[in-house]
Order: sequence, then structure tokens, then C-alpha cells
Amino acid sequence: MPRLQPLTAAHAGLLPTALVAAGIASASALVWLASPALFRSLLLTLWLLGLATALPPHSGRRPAAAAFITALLLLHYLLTALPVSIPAGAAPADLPAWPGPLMRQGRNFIEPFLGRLTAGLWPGRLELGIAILLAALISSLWPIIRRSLLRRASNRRFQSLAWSLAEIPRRTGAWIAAESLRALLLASLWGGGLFLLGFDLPAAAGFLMLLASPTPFWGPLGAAAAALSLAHSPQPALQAGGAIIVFAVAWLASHLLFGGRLHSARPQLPRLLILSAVFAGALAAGAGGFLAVLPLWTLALHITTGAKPPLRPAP
Amino acid sequence: MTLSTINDSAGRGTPCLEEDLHSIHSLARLLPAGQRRLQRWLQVRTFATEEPVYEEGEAAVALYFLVSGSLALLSGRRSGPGDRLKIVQPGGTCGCAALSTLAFYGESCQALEPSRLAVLPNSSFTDMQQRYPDIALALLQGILDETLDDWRAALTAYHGLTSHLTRANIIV
Repeated sequence: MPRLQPLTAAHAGLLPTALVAAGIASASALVWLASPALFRSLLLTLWLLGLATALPPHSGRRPAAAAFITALLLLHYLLTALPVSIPAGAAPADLPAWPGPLMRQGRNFIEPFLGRLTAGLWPGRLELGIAILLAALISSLWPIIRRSLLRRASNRRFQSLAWSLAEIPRRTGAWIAAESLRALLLASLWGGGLFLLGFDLPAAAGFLMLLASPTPFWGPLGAAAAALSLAHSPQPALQAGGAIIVFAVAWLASHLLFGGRLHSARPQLPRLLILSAVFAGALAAGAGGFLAVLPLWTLALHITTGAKPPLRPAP
Repeated sequence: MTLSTINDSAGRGTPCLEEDLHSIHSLARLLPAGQRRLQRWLQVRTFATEEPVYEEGEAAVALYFLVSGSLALLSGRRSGPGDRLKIVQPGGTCGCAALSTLAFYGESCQALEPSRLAVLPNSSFTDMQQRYPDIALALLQGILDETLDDWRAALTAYHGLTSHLTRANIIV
């Protein structure tokens, strides 16, 4: 049963994974430098293609696809105001003596960072339209493309190519779908909870949680810790207590609902290794590096593992 | 098909033609329209003498229909020369583990002479199951029939041998 093994760090060598990750990072940087709009469109297309693997495969495809596109457009419409709302939240003047300075520092980090990020990555309506069109086109043409690629492979390469062409999209698609569902749940519960608790900029906190969710364990913890600086009431300790309860509920709900999916889709990496990787990412590229390093590494790991067909151990 | 034609196209897949499917036993149940529909999921590959088609223990990724030539199915080849399980004649099918998409090949397959095979990757079989379940079911039924025929042939040979040995008073 080759496909039921959960992916671990031991499944792919460190060097091939690092090379693939470096390749993806360089290609992304080049595309970004060439045109940020093209980068946004491609990123969104790949994400949509990943999500498309979670759609039902046959009879209900058309209604499901229509519902999916409508939900995306609605989400985009609802969140269009987000980049505008981020700089609007100024730090209140009545911050306590402690941890007031820390909260001010947190706000000084979160607001400009999310402002820059959303300005750079938030797609326009045209880019969203292009991405939806491209994703629909690629996913419907994929069987023909795959057949054509397989036909061109030599006998020697046929087995491994057939495996890779089925396995890499399956692995990455399952991972993207599981992470997206979990991130949406965590972000909506977290943002909604902070809104009810009276935090400033709950949408920004939710968005930060959405971005940090694909980094196992440390990502949501880091996003939650950073969001505590957005507390607004005269008693931030009380608000922080409420936020900790909200976080625990969101964390538990996400694990109860998507734990199985995540376990089979995510590589099982040691937490210390993840912590080292995110610190290295943060040192190299700041907060963006902190958020991007694990998704990039996981994608590279899925590609390297999916490219290597398994072999049953000899009896 | 001449040997030179086989060598020219060796190593790459070519489109499957309608006449390639006429002799395949497991597709005998399909109407010509079904065969034409199946044809576009298939590709034809040629294998040289002693060229391995697939090896025991590899992930099963494709189902093979022998159009011409002959194949040997071998067991235990990873730990030695291996035992020959069966010789596949034109029209036969091998690599059925690929139908489950969750299995390893249970035997090795090797060409005994220059052979042409129609190949159905399991990703194509999965697509076919979703789009044309009737064709996929007919194919499964055909493969099951072929397996039953193999089993009947083996049973008949076994009984024939047993009765011969009994008549000759070699076993009682």
C-alpha cells in the first residue's frame, strides 16, 4: 500500500529537498521581479488547482465548481476591504505601563507588515478571474496533458513518470486542500473570537493566523502571540486570558475536524526542526521568511517524495 | 509488424490503433464503439527481447495488453533468477495490480521476443472509471474472465496430470 504511508522527513533526502526548495524560491523570485501581477495570478492558480482536488470528481462536478467559484468571489468581495482596514487601527493612547511598550512594538510590526503583504499579494479582480480561468482550463486538460507526457516517455522512464504525474499532484493537492480548510477555520474562529473580545483589527489578526497556519505548531502560536498586542481594553491581561481560551477552542476544533486529513497530508517533522527552520527563515527574510519557509519546504518535500516511486521491501 | 518497424518506434509510446485491440481477450466483451472510446486512453509501446516491462515490488502504475510477441511472468526475481509463472501470449493481459492504484506488482514481466503492448496507465483507468464507468466495468469483467480461464486451464492440466500418474500407477 504505497500511498497510505504518512510522509516523514526520512522519505526524501535533505539535499534533493533543499535543491527543489531553492529552485521553487528562485523561480518565484524571478517571476515576482518580472511581474508581481503574474506572480499573484500563478500563485492563486496553483492554490486553486490544489483545492480542485478536493472537489467531487464526477457527477456533482459542475454545481460544485459553480458553488466553489461563487464562494471564492464572495470571499474576495468580503475581504477586499482588508488591506484598507489594516492601517486604520492606531494604537490606543491608554496602554498600560506593562506590557504597553511590548504591545506597541507588536502593533508597529503587525500593521505595516500586513499592509505591505496585502498590497503585494492581494489579487485584483482581473487577476482572480485569470487565475480561475487558468485553473479550470488546466484541471480539465490535465488528463490529456498527462497522457501526452506519458506517451513521450521512454520505456525506461515510463514507470517513474507515470508514478510522479499521479503522485505529485495528488500529494500537493491533498496538502493544499487540508491546509486551506484548516487555515480558514482557524482564522475565522480566531478573528471572530477577537472581534467579540473587543480587540483592535480582528480581521488583521485572523489574516495573520491564516498565513501562519501552514507552519505546523509554531505558526499559529506565533500568530496568536503577535495578535495579543492588538488588545484594546484597559485590562489587557483579561483580554489576553479570553484570547487564550479562543485560541484553545480554535486549535481543538481544527484538530478535531481536520486532524486526520492533516496527518496524512503534512510531513511529520520534529518540532525542534520546524522551530530551527522558521528561525532561519526569519533571520534570512524577516517575518515573510518565518511564514514562507515551512510551506516552501513542505512543497519541496512533496515534490521530491512524489518523484520517487516506492519499492516493496524484498521478503 | 516487422522487426525494423519495432526497433524504429522502440522506447516511446505511440497512439493505439483500432486493429491493435481486436485480439485482446479481456476487451472482447466491449462493443466496437466502446473499444474506440477506450482506444484514446491507451498507448502502444514496444519492448525488445529480454527488456523488462515491470519488476516485482514496483508500484503498479499501468495495465498491459499484449498485442504481439510474448512475455514471461516471473516470480522471486529480486532475490535470484526467479520462477517462470506464465508465458503471456498475444491477446493476454498482465499487470492487473495497477487496477487498484494502491498496490505493488506481485510478479516481474519480461519480453521474450520483440513485443508490442497496449498500455493503460492507472491514472487513465481512474479517469475512465469516472467518465465511462460502463467501459471500466466491462474491462474489469473481461480481466476477471481471463483470470478464470487461466485458473480453469491450470485445474484441467493438474487433473490431467494426476489421472495420468494414477493410471500409470505412479501415485495411488
